[in-house]
Amino acid sequence: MKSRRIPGKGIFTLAFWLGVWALVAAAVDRELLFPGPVTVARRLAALAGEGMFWRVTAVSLLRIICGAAAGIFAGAVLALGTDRSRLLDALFAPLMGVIQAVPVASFILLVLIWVGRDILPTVIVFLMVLPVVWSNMSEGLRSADGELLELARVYGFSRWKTARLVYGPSIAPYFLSACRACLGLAWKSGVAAEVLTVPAQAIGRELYEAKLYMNTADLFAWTAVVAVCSLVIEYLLDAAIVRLGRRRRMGGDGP
Amino acid sequence: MIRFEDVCLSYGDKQVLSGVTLHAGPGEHIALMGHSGCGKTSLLRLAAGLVRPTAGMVTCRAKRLAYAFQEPRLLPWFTAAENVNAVLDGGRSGMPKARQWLAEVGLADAADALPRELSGGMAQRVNLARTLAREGDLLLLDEPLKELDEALWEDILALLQRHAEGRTLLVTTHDIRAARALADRVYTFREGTFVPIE
Repeated sequence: MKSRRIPGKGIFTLAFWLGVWALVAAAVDRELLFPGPVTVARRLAALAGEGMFWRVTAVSLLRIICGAAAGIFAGAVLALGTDRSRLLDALFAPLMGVIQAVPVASFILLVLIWVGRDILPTVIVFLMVLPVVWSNMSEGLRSADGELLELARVYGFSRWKTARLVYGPSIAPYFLSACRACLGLAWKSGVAAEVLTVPAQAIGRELYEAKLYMNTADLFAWTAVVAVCSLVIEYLLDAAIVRLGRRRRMGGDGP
Repeated sequence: MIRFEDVCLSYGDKQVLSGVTLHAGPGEHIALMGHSGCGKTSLLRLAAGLVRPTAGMVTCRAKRLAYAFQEPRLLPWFTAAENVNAVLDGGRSGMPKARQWLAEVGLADAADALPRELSGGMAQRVNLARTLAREGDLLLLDEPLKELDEALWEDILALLQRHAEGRTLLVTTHDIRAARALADRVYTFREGTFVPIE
C-alpha cells in the first residue's frame, strides 16, 4: 500500500514532541534539571546573537566535515583496492572489523596520545566513517551484476566505461546510504571527541562546560545546534541525491 | 572466422560438450538446435571467449563481435536508446543511430523508456537492436526470437536475415523454421556434440 502524504505532517510532529517536552519540563518543574522548550529557545536565540556561537559552530562543522570527507574518500578507495586484490582484502577486512568493534571512547583516549586535541575530532570522525563506507562500498562492488559485467566484456568496454556504466550505478545506492549513515555517526563521534578532549572553539567544549557549571539550558541549546546541523546536512545531501537522480533520468549522464 | 576443434567443456563434474568440431567461415550461417541445457549457449559463450574449453581449441578471427544474450541484459539505469548506444563507439553522438535501430525493431516510441517499463518481448527487441547496431562481423544470437509474439516474429526474422548477410552467424534456436530461414547449415545436439541435419 502506498503511503499518503499528509500536509503539515512535519509541523504536527514537531508541535507534538515540543508539547511533550513542555509537559515533562512542567512536571519536573526545575529549570536546572530539565529546562522547557521556551527556556532553551531563548538561550539559543541569545547564543545566536554572539559572534562566538557562529565561530564555534563553524569550526566544529569544519572539523567533522573534513573527517567525514576524508573517511568517505579513503573508504571508497580502500573498497576498490580490496575488491581487486585478495591480499589487500585479507589485510584490511579484519582491521575494519576491529575499528568497528573498538569503542569510540577508547579511540579518543588512544589517539589523544598521538595527535593534538584540535585535530583529534577530525581523526576520530575519519576512523568512524572509514569502515562504514568501506563495508557498504565493498557490498556494492560485490553486488555488481555479473551478467552486465559479461556484457561489458563481450562488447569490449574500457575499464573507465565499465566503471561508469556498470559499477558506478550499482554502487551509487550503497555509497549514498553509507554517506547518510556516516553523517549521524560523524556528528556523534566528532562531538563526543570534542567533549572528552575539550579543544578550543568546539561545540563539544561548550557542552562540557555547560555540564561542568550545571548550565542545563546551554547543554540543551548546544545539543539542539548539533541536531540542527546534522539535519541540515542530511537535507542538503538528500537534495543533492534527488538532483543527481533527476539529471540521470533526463539523460544527462547516459553512455 | 570461428573454429571449434575437438572442444570439450565441463562445469565441475558435469560434462556439457565433448569433442565438438565445427567451423564457420566468413559469411557462413550456422544454426544450433537441441533441447534446453544441452550446451548451445555454452558453445556461443566459448565463441565469445567468456569461458575456456576444458579441452580442444576455439579460434575466433572476428574483428568485431556482436552477441545477443538469451536474456536481454539491459543496463537497468539507462533508457532503451542509451542501452543501444552503450555498445556503439563515439559516446552520445551514437544516439540517433541507436534510435534508428530501435525503430527497425518497432520500438521507436519506447526509445526513452527504462528497461523496467518494457515487457519481456520489448526488452528482447532492445537486446536485438543493440546487437545489430553493433555491426559485428561475427553475430552470436542466442534464441533471438524468444519471447516475440507471432505478429512480430516474421518481421524480426526478416530483419535478422537482412542484417546477417555478409556476416558470420552462429544462432541457437528451438524453432526449425527459424533455423532453416537463418542458416545455411543446421546442427543438432547428439551425445555431447553437434551433428548436421541434412
